[in-house]
Amino acid sequence: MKKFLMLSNEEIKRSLKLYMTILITLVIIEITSIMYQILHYQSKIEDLMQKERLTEMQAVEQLNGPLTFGDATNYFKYMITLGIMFTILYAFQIWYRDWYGESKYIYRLLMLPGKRITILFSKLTTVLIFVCGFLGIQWVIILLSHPLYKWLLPDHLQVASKITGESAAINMLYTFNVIDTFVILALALFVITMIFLFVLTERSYRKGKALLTIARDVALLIVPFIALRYVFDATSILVPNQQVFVYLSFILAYFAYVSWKCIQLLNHKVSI
Amino acid sequence: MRRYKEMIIVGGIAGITLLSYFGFAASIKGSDYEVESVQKGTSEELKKINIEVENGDIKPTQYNIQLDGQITSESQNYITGLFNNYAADFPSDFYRFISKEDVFTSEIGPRTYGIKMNASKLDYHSYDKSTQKQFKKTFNYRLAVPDRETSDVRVFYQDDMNVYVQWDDHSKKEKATVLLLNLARGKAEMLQSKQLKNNRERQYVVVNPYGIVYREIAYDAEGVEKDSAYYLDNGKSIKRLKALDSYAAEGNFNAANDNQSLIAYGVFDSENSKSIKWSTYDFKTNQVKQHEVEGQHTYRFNGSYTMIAQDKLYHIANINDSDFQVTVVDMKNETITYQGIIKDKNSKKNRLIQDVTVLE
Repeated sequence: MKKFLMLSNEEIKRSLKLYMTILITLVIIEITSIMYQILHYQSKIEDLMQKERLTEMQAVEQLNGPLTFGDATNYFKYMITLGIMFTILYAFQIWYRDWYGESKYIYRLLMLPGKRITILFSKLTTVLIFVCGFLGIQWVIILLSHPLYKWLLPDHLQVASKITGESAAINMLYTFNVIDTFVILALALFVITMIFLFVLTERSYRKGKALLTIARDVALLIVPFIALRYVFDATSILVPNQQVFVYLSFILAYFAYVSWKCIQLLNHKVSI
Repeated sequence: MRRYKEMIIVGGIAGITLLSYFGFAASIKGSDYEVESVQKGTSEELKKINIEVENGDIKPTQYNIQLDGQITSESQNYITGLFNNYAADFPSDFYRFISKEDVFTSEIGPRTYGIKMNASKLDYHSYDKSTQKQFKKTFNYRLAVPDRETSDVRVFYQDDMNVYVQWDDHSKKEKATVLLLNLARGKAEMLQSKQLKNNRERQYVVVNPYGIVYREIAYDAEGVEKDSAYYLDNGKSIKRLKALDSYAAEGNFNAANDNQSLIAYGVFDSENSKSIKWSTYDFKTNQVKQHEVEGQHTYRFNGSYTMIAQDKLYHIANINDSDFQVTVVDMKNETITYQGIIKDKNSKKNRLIQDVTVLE
């Protein structure tokens, strides 16, 4: 446990500057974007009133009605996409920096006494903590954006909306159901573990064999899925709810396989 | 602790911000329903009625309310979303049958029907949600196999063991056929098959000792409805049911349980009224009669739900932004047998009645 905590702290420490820079950048861009959207909307109204001699109501009508909270937070979805991209890239970087860094950090890691599985868990925990941080900070920005929207925009130009606004991306992430948050984290865990498997496979075999092994592992996920879909459609052996059970069981089994494979590669195959 | 400083900082940010989200989610109050009886019904009767209410809130929840006071709620999430589908309402083998590509499905009240027609036989399956009973029968009958693309087959009326099926063929000229499936004798027969004039459509309503009742709609060249009327075909002559002319455009009339009349509801109900109204058409007198009962509260017609089951009319409507009035009317005696209010202690708005089931 001590080794796990120390390694996790070490991983976080090594990425802290990068993570904090990205987090603060996202916060600044999002807050700026909401201010820009509101001020831009107001200036468009003023423009229409002056140039086309419209009343404020007519100008609002020409701009397709008042500015909703969803319109004001329109840029958030791009920031969420950036957060997801960063997580994916970071899942690769957290391994490769150990090989390609100046000091060959991986050598020290693999030589540490105790089980190598701790290395895997500490890296996984680090990425997951970062994902939780993104989710949490994004929520706080949404919370802060509401008073900003109400403060910057005159009352008659506002539209009452739920706290998450109308954006599909935000509403998918924040459903106000704890189970959904864990489903999102489980999905993130699945993707991160897959990326770890690709990296460890690439580090364990020569180029050609590594590529073939990765292709086989991806096929192991996709081919049975397509086959199951085909069998279910062609035979109607199972009703949809039973099919969902089969799909979920398959994903769980595949996740178990990927995790086992990661541990096996790290214990027996991976080379410096 | 200093050793883990970075982990505590980053973990702390993630933990505190996520906890604030969970705290916010936990603070969102849903509806807290209770049933208050205005006019009491028998406890057995109340147990039979299940009302499904859904909220359009930030946190989607489904409430199942029984009028005897049993209330359950289920918050919807991504996992339940995977399982919540049409198939869950049916036994596996019935769903398997109706989900086949060449099976035509239709619904009347709590009953769902599936019909598959081959050249030499007709497979009939039905499932009743209120009794949870399934019925299967195969009829040996020579038929032209309907083309899935250009045909439509639906059950339009069931009188005990007689099931009446409408088969529309839109392939060349519009053709409407009525089949009778006698479930007791296992016999299928064609009652009529008519070639329709251009731009005409038929909706069969009922088959009774007076003949076959249908609503015929005429469209102009652009496909806009220009005329519609109810007709009675007794095999010798076709009579336009003029008494129903004022209802024909909406097509409100359906077969009543007694097989001697037609019934329509929701035609004359007005926004903010206490009266629950329905109309019946009597084949004997060829007249439409209006009926009404007065409930306790003024209700909103918009969003109200009315259904007829076992000679009773079930009427559920909002009496304010959050509370519903439930009225059960004995249609024979024109009396209210039960009236109650489903009250939301948290006065939440935007609740929708999703479904009402009356168990047999």
